[in-house]
Formats: sequence, structure tokens, C-alpha cells
Amino acid sequence: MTADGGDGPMIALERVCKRFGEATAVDDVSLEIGRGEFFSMLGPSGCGKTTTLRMIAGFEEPTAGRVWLDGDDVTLTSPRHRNVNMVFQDYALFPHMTVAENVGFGLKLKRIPRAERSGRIDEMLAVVRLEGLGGRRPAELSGGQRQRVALARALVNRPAALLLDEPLGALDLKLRREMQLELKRIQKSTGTTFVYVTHDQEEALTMSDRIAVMDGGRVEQLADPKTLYEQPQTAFVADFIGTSNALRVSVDRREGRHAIVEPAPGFRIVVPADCPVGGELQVSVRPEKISMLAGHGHGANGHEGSRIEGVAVERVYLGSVSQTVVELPDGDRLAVHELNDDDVSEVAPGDPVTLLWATRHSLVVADALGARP
Amino acid sequence: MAGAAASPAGIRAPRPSGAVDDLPPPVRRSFGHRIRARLPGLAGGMLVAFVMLVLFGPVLMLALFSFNDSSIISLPWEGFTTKWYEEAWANGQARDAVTNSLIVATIVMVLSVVLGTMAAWGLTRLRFRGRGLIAGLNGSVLVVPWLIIGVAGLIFFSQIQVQLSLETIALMHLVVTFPLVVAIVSAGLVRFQRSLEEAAIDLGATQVQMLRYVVLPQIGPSIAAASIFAFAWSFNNFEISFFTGGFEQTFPVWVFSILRQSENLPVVNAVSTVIAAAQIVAVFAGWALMKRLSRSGEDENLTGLLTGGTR
Repeated sequence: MTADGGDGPMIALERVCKRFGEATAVDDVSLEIGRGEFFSMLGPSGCGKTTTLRMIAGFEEPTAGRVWLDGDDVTLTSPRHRNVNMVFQDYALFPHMTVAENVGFGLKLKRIPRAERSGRIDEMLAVVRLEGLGGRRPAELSGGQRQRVALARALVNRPAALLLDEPLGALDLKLRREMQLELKRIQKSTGTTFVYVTHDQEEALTMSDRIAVMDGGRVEQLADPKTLYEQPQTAFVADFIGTSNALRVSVDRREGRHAIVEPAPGFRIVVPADCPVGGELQVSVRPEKISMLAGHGHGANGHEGSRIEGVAVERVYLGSVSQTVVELPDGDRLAVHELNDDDVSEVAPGDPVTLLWATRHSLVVADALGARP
Repeated sequence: MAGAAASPAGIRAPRPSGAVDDLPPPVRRSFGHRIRARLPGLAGGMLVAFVMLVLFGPVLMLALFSFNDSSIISLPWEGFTTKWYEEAWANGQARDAVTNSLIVATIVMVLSVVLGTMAAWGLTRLRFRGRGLIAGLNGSVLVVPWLIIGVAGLIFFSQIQVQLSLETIALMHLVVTFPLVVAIVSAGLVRFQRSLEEAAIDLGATQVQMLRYVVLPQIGPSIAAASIFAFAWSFNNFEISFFTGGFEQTFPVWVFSILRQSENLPVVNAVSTVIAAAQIVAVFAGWALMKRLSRSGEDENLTGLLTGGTR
């Protein structure tokens, strides 16, 4: 269903900027989105993700830079002449039209003959599982059903790419989870390129082939979900995707290819980084990569990786995991996640604990200023 | 309350499905309690009846006395007659005045709805310098007394030496109905979701197609309401017509001119009854039409129509 069989990227942004008066919404963004890819732009509100999407759709004109669609420069092309369609956050269904009329609106404007039109409408209603509801009005549908109509109305035009602006934001959690899987299924079955904007990291991780994490109008990191989670490159990404523990440390000595931070006995962090003695590092550790043992003194001899003795200060039950907040001798705090299986520890606030983690789980991230060691 | 005591919260024996015998019986409330529960409804009904009486009482009195066989508007009832209606029908001045009003009101309605809708579109959709000022000035005309607008019109037309006529009446009516249309249609446009316009463009619509297929069907109730009000304001207007009409008479001006002779009162009653009835019927007909045309699937009501649609 993708347009012609070219093999370049479906969408390319080349040094795109967008300023509204003094404010810079999008700051020098370049990225390429492949054919049939499920691509997400993830970030907090105001990070420029929606503006970027609207520049791809044609509703905003870039202040600088170029937008390429299927090999053509569409930077100044009006939205109605771009072969992309948008699913709006509030669905934007036409309330005075039936579901079928909504879905067929684009085809009617393209003067597709009535017979072919109704065939394509029925086919698309089947894809989004709304068979038999063509005669209803949007007001007579549930939130999830309206969402499907909005999808069908866009997809029926066989766009080169489908642009989705936080389409699940108005749905409750359970329905949102269902629709995430449904979106992925529809994307696979139609082979359409999806560009998805969201602030929900779980949503992005569930569905996307690749994710661009954005902040302050810039792309912080562009990678597949696993890489983003396992190897965040900046403190922002480490913090925005999942829970992270950020520590600012200075290197005391080197052992082979590792930097060792050891300000006191019972406080040792091993970082796989090429950093000279005295250098400063920003290190992030995922809470579930840390193993926690009750009492001090564990692994004092023979443990290869990081090892810190601290005191539990807080313990919260989170369902599948328990979170313990541990205070380190220098006052920093680390969150530790333990799976709530039969072996879960019975640590209570005030208990001394030892934290251990393997060297490869000490992630070096750029600090807030973007400087990397 | 007794029900709550009978089934302690939290402790509930497992019940075989279908057996409801062990549920506590429903508590029958006392007669006094039921009366008290319905009192607010009764009071509300009485209030509505009172308001309706105040609103429609005078008009009903007028209609009633138009059938009274006496030239004095007071009781006792002298007997039923339709002679005032026959007299009114035969009265050439009355017919001319009503015809004049119909023509002026129709022209004013069409012009103010077309111009006012365009202006409302501009004020709500385009960004330009002085937009707030223009919107404010537009609204302020709505609170200037019609008497002052009438006098101002008279002075204006005499200064530029234009002969007073039905045209000058229509022009000055436009001065007050245009801002009204702008206000009503703007309210409809502001409620209208902007993303619907973008969705239409995104699906390949031109600006004209977007207006035709998406915007107009949505703001239809607002435009219908604006039309009704523009027509009624022009048709009913006395002050402006009185000062800017010269020798031409609209219906309200004619009523005023012949009221000075009391023997004409029943004729005025008769004509006024017909006019009021026609206007009420027109509003209901407009509502019924809107209900048929609008296929939004939502509940339409008369208030919705008069306020420009509640959607």
C-alpha cells in the first residue's frame, strides 16, 4: 500500500527549524523515516514533537530546512497536495456525517466513483473492525470506536504515511493498551508508514520500530526501543524512558579499560568508560539491574562490578515489583526494583543493605548540558 | 437508611444465582415523605406557569380583545366578532405598512446574514491588527439605544441630502442587525472545532469545499438563528424606522400613528395578533425544519436554535 516502490526513505527532514516569534519550537531536526516503519516521536509537552508532525503534514511551514516525502521536496506544498493523512488528537470526525460518509470524505473529494468508494469504505471498516456501523453518527460511538473511524478515514486514502498526533490520549488505560496492539496490527496489515507522536514512553516502546526522543525542540536520541532503554545516551533519555538512577561521580583510578570510583571503603562504582583519573562522569543505573542483599559486607571480596553499602529508607509495593529507595553514604539515593517472586527480600526502612551490579550496567550518559566525557 | 442497616457492608453470604428472597425488602416510604420528595417538582411547575403567564398574558389579552365586539378595550365581554379582522384586511394603509415591513425585513435579513457571516469568519479565523478593536466596536453597537441610532440616521441622511425612504430604513436597520449576526455566528464558529477544518484540508478539500461540506453544515443552526433574529429585529423596529422613513410607513410606525385615535384600537389588535401569531409560527417552523435538516444525532431544541445551536 505504500506509494511507488522507491527505496529511499519515505519521509526525510533536513535541518528543519520552526520558530514562533521569539520561541523556537523545533531546533535543527534531521531524521529519516523508512518505508513501512512505525516511527515515534516521544517527549514531554512542548518538546516540538507535534510541531514536527504538523510540518510533515503541511499545517506548519518550517522557518528553515526542508521536508522530503517519498523523494519529493514538499516543504512548501499545501497539506491537500501531500500524500499523507493525519489522525487528530480529538479525532476531528465530522459530526453531521455518518461513519461511512466520514470515511468516504477523502474519496468523494478525489471523485472516486460511488461503487468503488463504497467498496473501499467497507473494506477499511473491516480493517478497523467496525463492520456494520457505517450508518451511525460519531455521537453514537464510544471513544475507542471514534478512534477507529478516524484511523479508517485517514487510511482509506492509501496515504504514503499516516501521521498520528497523540491519538490515544483521550482513552482510558485499558482501552489504550488494546488500541496500541490494534494500531500495530493495522500498521502491519496495511504496510503503511506510521509517524506517531506521544508523550507516553510505554506507548512508544510497545509499538515503535524506532523512536526519536525529543526535548527542547531537538532530537536527544534516535534508536530502537531496546537501545533507548539499555543504552540511553543522555541523562534526559535515561530519565524519560523508564526509571533511572543518576549519579555524578569523579574517577579515582583506572583498572584496565574501566574507570573506578571509590571514595570510601564499601563504596565502589566500576564504569566501562575511557575517562582519565579525576574526570567527572554522569552515570545511570536501571533499578532492576541492581541486586540488593540485606546487611553489609556481601561480596566484599571477589565481586567484579559496582558494590555499595547503604541504608534502606523507603519501600513501596508496585505490583509486579517492589521498589526500595536506598540512601548511599554520600547522601545520594538509588531506587532498586525487585521482582515480587518467592525470593523477594524482606528489607524494611532502616535496614542496612548491600547493592551490587555488573559493570556493563553502569551507563555513561551525557549531562544536562549535553557534554559527553 | 433502614436498608443500609439490614445489610452490613462487607459481609455478604454467597448467594445462589437467581435467589433474591434473602435480600432485605424495599423500604416503603411514608405518605408525607413522598409528598415532600415531590414538592420541588410542584413548586417548579407553578413557577413555570407563572413565568409563562407573565410572558404571554399580555399577548393573549390582545388576541382575546381582537375578537371582542366593542371598540373599547375592557371588560365586560360584548360578544364574539371577526369584524375587526375584516376591517383590518380592508385597510389599505395597514396592508401597505405590513408589505413595506416584509420587504425591508427580508432585504435586511439577507444582507446582514451574508455580510455578518463573512465578518464573523474573518474575526474568528484570521489574525490581523485591530481585530480586537473591531470586535469590540461591533459589540458596542448592540447596546446603543435604537432611538439614538434612529436620530443619528436622520441627521446623517439630512446632512448628505439623501431623500428618506424604505432604502434609508433598510440601511439603518442593517446597522443594528449586522453586529447581531456577527455576534451569533461568531459564537457558533468559536464553538466549532478548528481541527475539523484541518481534517477537511488534510483529506484534500479546497477552502471552498471545506466551507461547503464541513463548516456550513456545522454552523447552520447559528445562521438560522441569526436569520430569524435579523428579520424580527428589522420587522419589529419602531424607533429607527420612525426617524429614517420619511413618508414611508413600516408596520410599527403605522401602529403608532393610528393609535392616537382610540376607535382604531381593535383594528390594531387584530393586525398585531396576526403578526405575532405569524412570527411565533415562523420560529416553530424554523425549528422543525432545522430538526429535519440537522442530522447530528444529538437532541435539538428550540433554545438551541435561538442561541445558535448548542453544539
